[in-house]
Amino acid sequence: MAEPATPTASQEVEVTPDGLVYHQVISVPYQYTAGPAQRAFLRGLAERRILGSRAGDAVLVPARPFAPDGSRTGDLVEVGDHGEVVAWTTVPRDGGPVTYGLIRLDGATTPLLHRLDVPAERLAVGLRVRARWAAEPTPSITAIDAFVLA
Amino acid sequence: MSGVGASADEPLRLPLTVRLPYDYAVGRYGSRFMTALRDEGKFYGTRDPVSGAVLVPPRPINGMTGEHLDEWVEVGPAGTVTGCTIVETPFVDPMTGRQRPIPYGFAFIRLDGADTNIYHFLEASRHEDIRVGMRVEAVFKPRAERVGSLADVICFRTLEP
Repeated sequence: MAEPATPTASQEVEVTPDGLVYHQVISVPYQYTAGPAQRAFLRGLAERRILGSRAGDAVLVPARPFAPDGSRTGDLVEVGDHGEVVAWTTVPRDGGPVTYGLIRLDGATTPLLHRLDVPAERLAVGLRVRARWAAEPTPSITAIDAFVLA
Repeated sequence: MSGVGASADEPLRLPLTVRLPYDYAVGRYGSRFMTALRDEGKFYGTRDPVSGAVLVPPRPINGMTGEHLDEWVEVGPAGTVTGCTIVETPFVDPMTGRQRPIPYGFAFIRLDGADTNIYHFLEASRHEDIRVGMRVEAVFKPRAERVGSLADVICFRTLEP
């Protein structure tokens, strides 16, 4: 496995009516190795499947090695890509507001955090939503582009 | 990347990058200093009207006295080393994104006519070639390559050891 690239930096000087502005970027590359439960979850996403871990009567999503009480979780369980909004918030951003939601997927006990692409007037706790899968299958949470109206 | 289609036991290694973009507004005094560096190839400082101290880089307020400074004076381009070291550990230069070849000299420099130090690279890169009190002079990039940054000065070359 190749070593991650070294950090890079750049500086550009802009002349503005109010003086000089340095536009600077520092980029720090690194490599993250997912543990067994997380890599199962991430590889599942690349296959458009959402996996949780069984813990007694509960199904914890994303899949994880330990339950909140410290016991090891059991089998991986596939949950639905539809679910309901448990909570949401809208954040003002350059380029338009972004809404994040906690979504309890069908078959899951715990909610998953993701972006909601839902008209503002429709946002509500209990709203039914579904995953909009990204075109590219990747082992990443961004394999789901957003959750949209079901 | 070991991703899609890999066996469940195969490690999943994810190459990621933290990207940190930021803007630095150089300010009125800093911009005038950097613009003169770019256009004239000269250093300027500001003089405290009460104590007479010349601050380089120029500042609008003397933090030691609270005085407003608006008299601009040319300083350098020669100066005296007031502190120095040889850098042996490579790291990324935030102004260029590249590692400087090691070893290289780094110093606090009191430009002629100034009462404060700037810091910059030395042409000298051996311990036996540097000392506090040595005389140095700024080496500028050609005008066409200067952008209004302290990197417009390549280094300070030794005048007298």
